[in-house]
Amino acid sequence: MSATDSSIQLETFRYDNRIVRLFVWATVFWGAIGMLVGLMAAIQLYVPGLNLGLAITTFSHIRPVHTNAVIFAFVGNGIFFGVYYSLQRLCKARLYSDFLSYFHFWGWQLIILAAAITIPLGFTTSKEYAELEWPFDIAIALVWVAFGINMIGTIIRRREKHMYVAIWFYLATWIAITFLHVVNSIEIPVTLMKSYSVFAGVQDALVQWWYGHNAVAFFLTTPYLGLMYYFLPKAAERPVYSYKLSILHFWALIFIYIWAGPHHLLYTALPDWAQSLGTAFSIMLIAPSWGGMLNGLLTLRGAWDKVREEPILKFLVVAVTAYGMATFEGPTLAVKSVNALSHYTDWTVAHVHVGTLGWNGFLTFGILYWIIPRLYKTTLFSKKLANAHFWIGFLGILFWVVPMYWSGITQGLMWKQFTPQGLLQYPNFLETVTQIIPMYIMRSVGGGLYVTGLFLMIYNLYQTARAGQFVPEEEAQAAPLLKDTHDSPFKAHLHRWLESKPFPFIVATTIAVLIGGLVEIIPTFVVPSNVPTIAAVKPYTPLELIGRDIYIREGCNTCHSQMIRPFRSETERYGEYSKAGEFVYDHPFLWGSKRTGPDLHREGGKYPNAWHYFHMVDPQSMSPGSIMPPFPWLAEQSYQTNDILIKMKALQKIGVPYTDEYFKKAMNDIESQAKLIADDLKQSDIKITADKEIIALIAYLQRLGTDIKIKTGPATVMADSTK
Amino acid sequence: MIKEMLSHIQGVEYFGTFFLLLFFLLFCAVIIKVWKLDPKTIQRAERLPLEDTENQGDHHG
Repeated sequence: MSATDSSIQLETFRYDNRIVRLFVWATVFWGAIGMLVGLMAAIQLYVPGLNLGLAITTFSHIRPVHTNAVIFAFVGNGIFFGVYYSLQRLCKARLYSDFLSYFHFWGWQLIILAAAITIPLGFTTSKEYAELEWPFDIAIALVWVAFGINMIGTIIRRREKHMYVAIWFYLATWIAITFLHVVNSIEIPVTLMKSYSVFAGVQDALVQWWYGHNAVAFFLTTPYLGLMYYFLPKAAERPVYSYKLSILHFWALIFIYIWAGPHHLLYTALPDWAQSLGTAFSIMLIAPSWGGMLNGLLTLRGAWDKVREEPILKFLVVAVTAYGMATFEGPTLAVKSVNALSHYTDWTVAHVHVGTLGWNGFLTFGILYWIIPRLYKTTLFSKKLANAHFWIGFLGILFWVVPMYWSGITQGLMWKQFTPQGLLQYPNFLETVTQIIPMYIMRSVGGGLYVTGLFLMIYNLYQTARAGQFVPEEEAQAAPLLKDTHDSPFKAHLHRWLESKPFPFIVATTIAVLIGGLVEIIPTFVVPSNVPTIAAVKPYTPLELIGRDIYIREGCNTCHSQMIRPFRSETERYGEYSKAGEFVYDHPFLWGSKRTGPDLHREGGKYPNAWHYFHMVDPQSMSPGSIMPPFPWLAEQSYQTNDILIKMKALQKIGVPYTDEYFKKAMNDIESQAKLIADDLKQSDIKITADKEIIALIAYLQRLGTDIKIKTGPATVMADSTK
Repeated sequence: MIKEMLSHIQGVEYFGTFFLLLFFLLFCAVIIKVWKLDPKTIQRAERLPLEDTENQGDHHG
């Protein structure tokens, strides 16, 4: 029975526009904040003093604020307003629960606020895009579940039998993010604001990049594809080019995407077979991604003349094109030989920003220009201003990404350049940094342009809202959904049946999403040959552990990797390449993903303690021209020892072989190791007490990578913490 | 026990090939299903985003 049958009594109901409006303005607000923080971080790369001498505004503290704000606050709120607007209309039903809608909204905003406060203060797990500490992980799970219930409840109460393709993408997003968030957040709390990942080293890296890659896939991509499939036909006033292609696009994309995570760990200590799987599936991803992109662009068939006039369509066309570019480049970067050059450089950063500035940013802007006049029952305040925004934003993207491609490729090549005598052409890492500073300046100009465009949009949207009259509840009519007499998969086409039933659809999607993750993660965890153990590798001493936690708090891994790849250019520069067995006690792993500064895995013993002291307090005193921010507070603040036993006992529970016997002498070990470093510093005329944070950090840095190399470095106590 | 079983997984190198094959077969099945879909169903489904505009009028053309 069709819902459009005229013999059925129509029901009158109201769409909730209030919740859409709230998420709309939250998107705009957090977008401005997140991008301004990004701009501040970008400028700090050539004006380190812009941190104002404060820890909370230092690059390594605010870079994660920028990424979290633009991903979860800007794009997150963008997803929610788009989903709540389109879902109601596609289901011909009001949202399932007003309470859940508002719980979702306020819960999400409070979590963002908590992130904006706690991350700059150094409360971080160190895992990229998952930096929030454990109490917030629980809060995210609760709010996400509320969103899911609200969405699925609305789908169940719908008055339209067919679930439009946009809804499939929304459901897949919800399912995948649920698994990703839960698995990557399995951690053991030690204090209210500190936890350790239960996974260590290679396994932690695999889980993190399974999460990190699929946060891009299922937070920045699939929900926005759903929005594209709804709002692009609306803006172009014609149906999607091929609905059949959208079905293929959906199933192929969600099955393949989840496998590609290991391409973030090529040439690392991750087992080769997992790296190869990541590469193979990344290349396969081109097909469904481009299927979706072409479906979007071809939706404009016969309407290209409108693109010339209509800024909304301009934004959408560039967004979909940027999606196509980013999804071609992604698989290219997943090819091992390309990755050997691109990884750890600005090339990856440029790639990410084609996606975020182009795809997410421009799609959001286009939809905002479309939706606000409709919510306020008026027309856009100024089309001219919107066109200006488009061109300024577009130029902003170009000025942003082109210098970063240049800088990435330049630096990558410089790292690998040898002289005819077989020596590194640029043995001093700093030479490769000063070379690209003009690119950093140009990048911030691009960012400035992009943010300027954003503020033009905010003014335009504000004036639009002021001129109109907000419609809080929009009345609609539709016939109720009647039970289908051919309600069986055996009598109807399987896919038609799946599309009309949310629960079988959810199960099928869950299976498709889970297969890749399980096949990659389980063997890495349980097959011993995947992480060969090294007898010489011992757990960190308590002082080193304190130092490691300070390293995490200060966000050192934002700019320094701890993973030397097996290339001659890296072993010449840094030392022996990194082995999987060296990281078995690293909760969490700290391999990093970007080398704004050099790799630190073999840092132990490379420089005297005094060099580290001066370098942390004033980096330019040891490396003139360095862009590393100073960390003088480390020489002023004292480290805490009151929770060290709790931390060590927590680590013992998750497999670090600290013995109960050792706990009794842990405090003495801290004192003796710290005294040795402080005494050594005294010989260089550095007067500092042994209880300062910098002492613990030096202890950690001097330990790095020394388990499998001959210890010829400065004096530290390498206590055996397993006895 | 599960860990014990899993820790003796043999032929992990064939996992990728197996699931690639599985994906290929499922993908072919989806193509066939999509190909056989009723054109009327497709036509109706693809117009869903436009229905509120078409049925209830749109002030913004």
